[in-house]
Amino acid sequence: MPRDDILPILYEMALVIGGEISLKPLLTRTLQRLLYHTSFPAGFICLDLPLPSGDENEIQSVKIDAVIGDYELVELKGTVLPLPVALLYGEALSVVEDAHLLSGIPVACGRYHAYLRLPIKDCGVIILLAQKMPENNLPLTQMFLPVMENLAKAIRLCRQNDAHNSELISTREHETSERKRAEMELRELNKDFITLLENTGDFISFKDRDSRIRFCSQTLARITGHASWRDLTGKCDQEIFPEDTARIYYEEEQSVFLQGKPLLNKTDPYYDENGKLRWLSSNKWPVLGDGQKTVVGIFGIGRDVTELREAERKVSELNRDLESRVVERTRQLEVANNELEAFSYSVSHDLRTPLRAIDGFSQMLLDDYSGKLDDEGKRLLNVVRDNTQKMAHLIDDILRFSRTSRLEMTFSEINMEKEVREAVDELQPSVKGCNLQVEIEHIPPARGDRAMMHQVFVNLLANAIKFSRSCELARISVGGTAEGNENVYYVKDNGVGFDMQFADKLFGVFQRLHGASEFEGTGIGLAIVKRIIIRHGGRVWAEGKVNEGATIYFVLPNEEQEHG
Amino acid sequence: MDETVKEVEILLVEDNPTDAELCLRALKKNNLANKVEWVKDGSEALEFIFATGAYSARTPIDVPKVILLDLRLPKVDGMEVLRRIKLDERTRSIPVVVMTSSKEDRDVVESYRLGVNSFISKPIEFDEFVKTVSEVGLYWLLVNLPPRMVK
Repeated sequence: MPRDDILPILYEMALVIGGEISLKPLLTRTLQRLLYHTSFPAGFICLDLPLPSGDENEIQSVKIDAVIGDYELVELKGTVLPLPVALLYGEALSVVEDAHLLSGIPVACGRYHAYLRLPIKDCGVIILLAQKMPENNLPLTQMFLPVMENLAKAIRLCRQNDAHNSELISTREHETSERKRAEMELRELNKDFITLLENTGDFISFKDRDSRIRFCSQTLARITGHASWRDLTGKCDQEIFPEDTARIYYEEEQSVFLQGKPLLNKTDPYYDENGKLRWLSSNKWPVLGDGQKTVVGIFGIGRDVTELREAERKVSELNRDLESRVVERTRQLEVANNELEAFSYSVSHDLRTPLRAIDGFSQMLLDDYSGKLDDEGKRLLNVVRDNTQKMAHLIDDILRFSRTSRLEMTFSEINMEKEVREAVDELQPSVKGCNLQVEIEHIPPARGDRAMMHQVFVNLLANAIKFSRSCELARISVGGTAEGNENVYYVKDNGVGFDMQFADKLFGVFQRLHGASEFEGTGIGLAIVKRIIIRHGGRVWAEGKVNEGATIYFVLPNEEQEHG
Repeated sequence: MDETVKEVEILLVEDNPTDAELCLRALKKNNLANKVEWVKDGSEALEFIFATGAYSARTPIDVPKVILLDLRLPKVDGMEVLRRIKLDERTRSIPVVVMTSSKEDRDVVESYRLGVNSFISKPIEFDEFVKTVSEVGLYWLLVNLPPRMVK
C-alpha cells in the first residue's frame, strides 16, 4: 500500500479513536474503520485475555467484547467462547489462512478461512475475519501498530471514563431514590399529621407571630361552625371566636409572645358548637425562631375539662357539706354531752338530798318517838332507811358509770402486770376470811388510760373474789397474750360461775344474776368494765358454767394496729 | 334589830329546809345551835356577810366563826358566794366549809381553787350525817382559832 494511502488511513483512525470517550462505541467504531480500510467483512474484539499456559493447543474461554460485520456473529457479542490460544496470542499478523483455528467460532464454522490478528497492547486482541485470502492490496498489519497503541490508551481512558460515569450515574440514582424516599416520608408524615388534626378530640393550634392560625385541629373548626380546619388558616381569634373568649385567648397569648415562656394548665372558657359554655385546660408554648431569641409563633394544645371541673366542684361541695355536717354533728354532740353533764351533776346533787331527808327524818322519828312505836313500826322505819341506803348506792354507781363515759382519756403505755398487782393489794380488805390464791401470769403491756385500766382490773378482780369467796380454795388467775394486732387479757376464777345463756346480760347496767342476799353489789362493775374497754376500741365477753367458775376476757388493740 | 345584831358563830347557807333542819339538829346535839344564822339562798348569804339589804344594820366586822355553804342555791349559787367572800379583803379570812350533796371532782377542784377552807360531802345516812356535822361544828368553833380571836 502506497505511503500516501496509509497516512490518511492512520489519520482517520486516530480521529476515530481519539473521538470516542466510551468503551463500547470506541470498540465498534474502531472495528468498523478497520474493516473498511482492510476490506475484511467481519471482525471481533476480545479484551482482558487470560494469560496463556504455554500449551500451544490450549483452548481458552474468552469473552467477545465487540463484533461487527456478520449478523450471526453479532449474536455472540457478550458471550464467552472457547477459542484456541494460537488464534489469540502472538505477533501482529497479516492474513493467516487457518480454518482449523477458526472452527471454535460456532456460527463462523466453515465460513471464514482467513484471519488477521491485531494485538492491543496489554488489553486484548482484534481478530478480522475473511472467507478467503484477500487477493490484493492487503494492508500491512505493521502499519496498524501505532493505531493499536493509540487504541490501548484510548481503551484505558474510556474504561476510566466509563467507570467514572457509571459511578456518577449510580450516585445520581442513589440521590434520586433518597430524595424520593424522603419525599414519601414527608408525604406520609404530612398525611399522619393531618389525620391527627382531623381526628383528635383535643384543641391543637399553631399561630404565627401575627396570631394568625397556620394550622389547627378540626375540633376548632367544629366549635366555630367551619366545615374544615383549613378554613381557619390565616385567621386570628377575633375572626373566629366570640368576642369575650377571643379576648381572653388573645391576652394570654400576648404574654407568651412577650415573655417567651409557656403558659401551662390554664383553664379557659369556650363555647361549643351549640353555644354552650364549656371549659378548656390549655398549654401554650412559644415557638422560637432562629437564634432562639424571638418568638415566631405559639403552639397550643387544649383539652375539655368541663366534666372534670364539674366533678371537682361536686367533690369540693360534698367536702364542704361534710365539713359543715361534722361541725354541726360535733356541736350537737357537745350539746348532748353538756346536757348529760348537767344531768349527772343535777343527779349528783339533787337526788341525794331527799334521800338524806328520808333517812334523817326516819331516824328522828325513831329517836324522838321510840316510846310510841312498837317493834313492827320500828322495823318498817328501818326498811325505809335500808332502802334509802340502797338508793344512795345506786345513785353513786350510776354516777360512776356515767363518769366512765364522760371522762377524757389520757393514753400512755400501761404496765398491766403492775396494775393487776396494785388492784389485788387494793382489794386485800375484801379478801379477809377467805382462802384465796391469785396467780398472775405474764401479761403484755397495753396502751390506754391508766386510771381506767386500773378500774377494769379492780372491778374484775373484785367480782372474781366476790363470786369465789365461798370456795374452799378460791383460785383466781390473771393473764394475757398478744395475738396479731390485739392483746387478749383474762381474769378467771373458780367461783359460782354463771349460766352461759345469761352471758350477754352480765355487762348490762344494774344487771345481776344473783340475789341481793347472796352477793352484795348493784351490778354496775362489769358495765363499767365494758364501757372502758369499748372506749379503748376493744371487746369484752364472758365464759363460764354454773359452779365451775367464770372467765372474763377483754381484747385491746395493740400498738402495731394503732400505728397502722 | 336585836335579832339581826346578835352574835353569829355559824352562818348556815342552805336552801333545803329539811337539810337545814337535819343540820341544826346535828348541831343542837352538840350544843352548837344557839349562835347559828340560817339563810336560804346565795343572795341572802351575801347580804348577811357584807351587811347589805336586809342585813344593812349588821356590823360587818361581826363575822361568823365559820360559814357552812351549800353549793346548789337559788339566785346566787354557792360557788359564786364563795368567790365573792374570798375575793373581798374584808371577808377573805372567814373560814368557809362547803357542805354539799355532790361528790363531783370538779366541785372539789373549783372550791379549793377559789380558796375554800374545807370541803365536806354530806353523807346520806343520818347517823353519818350527824357525826360529820358535829365534827365540823366542833372543829371550827372549838378547835380552830379564828382570826377574830387573834386580833
